[in-house]
Amino acid sequence: MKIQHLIPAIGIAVLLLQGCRSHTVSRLSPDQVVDLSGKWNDTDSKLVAEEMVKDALARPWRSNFQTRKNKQPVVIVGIISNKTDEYIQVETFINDVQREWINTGFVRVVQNSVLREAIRKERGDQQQFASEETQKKFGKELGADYMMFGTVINTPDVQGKKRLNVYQVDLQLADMETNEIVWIGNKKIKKYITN
Amino acid sequence: MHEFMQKQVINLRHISKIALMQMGAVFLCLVFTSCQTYYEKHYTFNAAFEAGRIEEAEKILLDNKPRKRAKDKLIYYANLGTVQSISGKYEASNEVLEKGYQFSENKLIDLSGEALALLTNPNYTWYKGEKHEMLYLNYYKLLNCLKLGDLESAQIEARRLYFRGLMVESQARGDESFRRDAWLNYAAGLAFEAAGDVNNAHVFYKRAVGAYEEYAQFFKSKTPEALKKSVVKTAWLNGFTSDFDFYSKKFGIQFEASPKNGGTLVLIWHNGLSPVKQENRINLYLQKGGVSGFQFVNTDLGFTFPLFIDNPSNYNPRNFDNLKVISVALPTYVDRALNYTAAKVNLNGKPVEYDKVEDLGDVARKCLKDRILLEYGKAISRMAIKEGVRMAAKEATRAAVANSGNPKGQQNRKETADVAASLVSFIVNVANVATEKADTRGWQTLPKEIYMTKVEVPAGEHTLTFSAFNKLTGQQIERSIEVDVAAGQTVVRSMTTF
Repeated sequence: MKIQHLIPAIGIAVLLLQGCRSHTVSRLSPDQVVDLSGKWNDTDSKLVAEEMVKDALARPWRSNFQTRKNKQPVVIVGIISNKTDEYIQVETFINDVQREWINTGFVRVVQNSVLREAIRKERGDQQQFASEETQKKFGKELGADYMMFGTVINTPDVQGKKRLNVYQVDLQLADMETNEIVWIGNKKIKKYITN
Repeated sequence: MHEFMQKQVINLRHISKIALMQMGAVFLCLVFTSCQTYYEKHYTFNAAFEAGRIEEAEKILLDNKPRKRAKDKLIYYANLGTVQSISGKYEASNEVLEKGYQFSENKLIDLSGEALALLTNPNYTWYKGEKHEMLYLNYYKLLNCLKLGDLESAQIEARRLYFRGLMVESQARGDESFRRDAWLNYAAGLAFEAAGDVNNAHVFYKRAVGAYEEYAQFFKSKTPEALKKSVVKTAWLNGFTSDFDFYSKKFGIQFEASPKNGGTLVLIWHNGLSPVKQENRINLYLQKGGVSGFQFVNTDLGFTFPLFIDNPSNYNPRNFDNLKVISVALPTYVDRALNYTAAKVNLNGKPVEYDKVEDLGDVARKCLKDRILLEYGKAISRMAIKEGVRMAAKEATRAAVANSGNPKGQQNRKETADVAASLVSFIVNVANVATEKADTRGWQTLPKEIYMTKVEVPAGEHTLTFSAFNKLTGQQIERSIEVDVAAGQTVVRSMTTF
């Protein structure tokens, strides 16, 4: 081996050391779209919630209700099941949907059963510990007119290093009195991933 | 067990006395250099742990806390966490495993250590854990939480397992790589089911079914019967009719309604000890003036790498470096004896079935095999760098000696410079060989096999009896566990045999 043979050796050393980057943290805007694995993420949750609520509001059920009752409909977001084989924070999606409903100003939203219980417990405490003028009364809860249900499913397709992730979110709105389904919407997200 | 095969075509012409002396020196150097594996270095602890002397093993660890910059800190946390989990100190175990988790999350990079590793061996770098070891930190925490009945924390560990699992999945190269740990997905499903989150339990049971199907390609393992029932049950409970139809047809089973006001009893059996890493080393003795071809073969992991070294310099009988030694060391696994091969589990006197849910020996080997090509590349780079250092030292010595002293007698000085350079070259070569070492670090307290039984029981007190035969000592061990199961509760217990 001659002295020139050192060059590739040093080159390899440099390449190997280049891989040793230090740990860094960058703060990003929550609105910035970052797709790393191609799996369901916060951007999907937000976009689907926005588009589906927009679609729901544009359908006749809302105007029919307003004509009939002359008031804004009250909606409760119920169970949205994760039927995928991925861990998805469904609570985040439910929150996104609730936020979209509220922000439109056309619909009123009430708490789900778990949080209703927590509020009732707190109200019960108020009866004992809060001053009379600030106590909130029982029996004044807003009853929902419609309940929203839904599912998230995925149908991945894989070949070699290529992967197609298709997510489909199906949501429906049912009349609380009659069980009538007044709106069905679905939204698909397709992601093509190459490794 | 592994074996080495070398096909050497060394040109052994002209072996001089100097060359024989060098061979002797190299041999002595190799004998006196520490070639202990990580397991052997910590033999006192390992011997106590393997013999089931858990308190003694814990004391050894607590008396030998790692230094702040100890490169094997992760293994210390993992071992201590395991030992404390086995001895029932679940909170203490969780605390130390969390340190291990945080440590592995930070992915410390020590540039000086990395550089030193290139010149010597990889043991100077931070040990960051094999893929499965990183996941098992969370598994032991999840298990501790389930045993403590802390279901909120168990779900946190299940989520961490998922996100770490995604990292492992993203590192997989094609379908042939280890992508998902089946048992850990199954265990995460158990945590969600225990917490009453049947939706996420179903997600993880589905993932586990998929992972066991991947296992079948690598390890000849089967999907556990209890998992088949669980995935059908959670599909039913969620009202996922298409999944219910799919899985009940696929496995040929129907949903069995749980006893009213009943609970679930889960017994996990950790059996034996996972294989430990050993060094798979090849030392090549090269005589100048020939081309040598070798094969680096490891039948244990099933790989063969060719290695060709062109060594065309002219032979000079007065030189010390006519003989050059090149050393390449890679890690491999060696099994530890499995003392218990079968057990019986009785619930209230009646036998219950259990499934083998994981063979960590297989998983460990697969994870190492997946990255062995990279390890080989690193070993070859190390060899090239060491050779570069040897050449640089040789040339520097030659230049220093040749340019020193009186210009008269230049011929004598040139000869002296040649001899000095070859001597330095030889010494650096010996140092290079002596420092070459495989990274044999690993989590040695992990079990070899994991079995599980999951039964639905009426609420109330139950007795689980576990008996196993130790083929080494000829003794039968029997342990009884009294369990009080409340309606809707999942009670998790575990057994460990070494």
